[in-house]
Amino acid sequence: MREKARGSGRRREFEELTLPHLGSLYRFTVQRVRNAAQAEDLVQEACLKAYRGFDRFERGTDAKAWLFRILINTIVDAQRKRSREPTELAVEIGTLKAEGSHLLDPETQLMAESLGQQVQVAIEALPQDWQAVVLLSFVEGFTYKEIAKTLDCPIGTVMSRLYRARQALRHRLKRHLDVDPRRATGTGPSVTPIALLRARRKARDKKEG
Amino acid sequence: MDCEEARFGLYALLDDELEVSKNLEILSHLEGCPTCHRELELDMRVKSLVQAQLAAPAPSPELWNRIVRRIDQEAEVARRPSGGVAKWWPTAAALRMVWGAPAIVLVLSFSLWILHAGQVPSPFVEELVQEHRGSVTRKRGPVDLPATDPAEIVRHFRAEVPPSSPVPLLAQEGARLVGGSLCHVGEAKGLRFTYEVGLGRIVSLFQMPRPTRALPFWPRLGPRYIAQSQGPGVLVWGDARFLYGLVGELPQEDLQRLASRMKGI
Repeated sequence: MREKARGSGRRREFEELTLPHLGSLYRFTVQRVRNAAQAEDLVQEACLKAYRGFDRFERGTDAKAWLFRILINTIVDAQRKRSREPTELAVEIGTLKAEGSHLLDPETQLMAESLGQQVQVAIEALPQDWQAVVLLSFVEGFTYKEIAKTLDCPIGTVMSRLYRARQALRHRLKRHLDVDPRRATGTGPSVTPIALLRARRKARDKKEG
Repeated sequence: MDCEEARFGLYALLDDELEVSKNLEILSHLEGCPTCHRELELDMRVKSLVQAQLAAPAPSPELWNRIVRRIDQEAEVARRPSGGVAKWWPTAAALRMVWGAPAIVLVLSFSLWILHAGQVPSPFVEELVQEHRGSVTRKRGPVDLPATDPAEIVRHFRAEVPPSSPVPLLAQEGARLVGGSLCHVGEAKGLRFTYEVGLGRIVSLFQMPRPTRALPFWPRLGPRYIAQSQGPGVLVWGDARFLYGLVGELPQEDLQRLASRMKGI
């Protein structure tokens, strides 16, 4: 009985740490594997692994980075396993998981009918390592340090991947960069970069007292 | 601080990763250097474009419950002595499943009700059509034709595409042509027909000249293959001269069914 109570306490603690990040974990996985059902399976597997190793998690450290590290390993393992399986080339009609530069072929451009889809295609065309850095930084709001910890690589590597990914995105989305995206996406009036950065610095100074 | 030094710090500045003093140095350089300023502006746009446009799908509400069930099952297996009477007692997970069954019935009934309710023409259809129609032509397409008469659309597009091109029409029963547009996808010019296919669903049929080179994917598959993308399902196929695509928020099998009813397939 006592053992059971201890188990439920452990689970509650795990839930408190993990549940707030479930959406992020799923979003990241869908971006990587492009299949909702597979993404849920992978997130589930990663959460189970995390729970099994929960005793090794250092309390008070960043749970999000810890969870993402487990998730990314799970995704990489699954992809490695999949690549060893026989390909589906023999079927007449299959599900397409396009890779790399193929993505910018006309058929795929045809698919990318909306701006959102074009951004999606541009992100997918990035090598996996760059993609992970972009998603963690732009979408999940990770700091460089957190990304380095999650991907288990030096900060310099994070910065250089991010630099190259940005150059590639700039190239691929250049048609949409000629207009102000804030206006195009209706997210507010145009602000100059300097004004925005100054405002951000001011807010931070104020916060730090 | 020179440009090279400033540009090295631009991304870090943009990601709010620099200490305040370094920030200030770069900011004062930026104010006097239009080239670096432009660089920063482009990078900000890339970041905000990705943030604003990247889809943010949510997991199913059941996902966490499934995870918890698996955790419980593992814990139960670890606790339970092998064999014996204990395994015949209902586990916590099994009890939850018993409670879960009526919930599933409820959800199913609700879905059926929603589907049934969907038979009534949706007031959002017009809005959907507008949005769908506008998504490609917003920037470069010179023509957006709000016509619903197929013959009129075909006549109109004859002027824009080679006269020998077949203009496919969606032959699916219940599909109603609600508009068309000339669109640019990359550098290629294509035609788009927008159909409403019931339940307020909108699909687009594209036709565009096929590139001169061979299809890059799966050469053994022949002229037709399914492409799966996030969000709207996409079906792409081709013949000797043209590529066709159906894009819509429909399951792949529905898109296939639609495609198989197309003329010439």
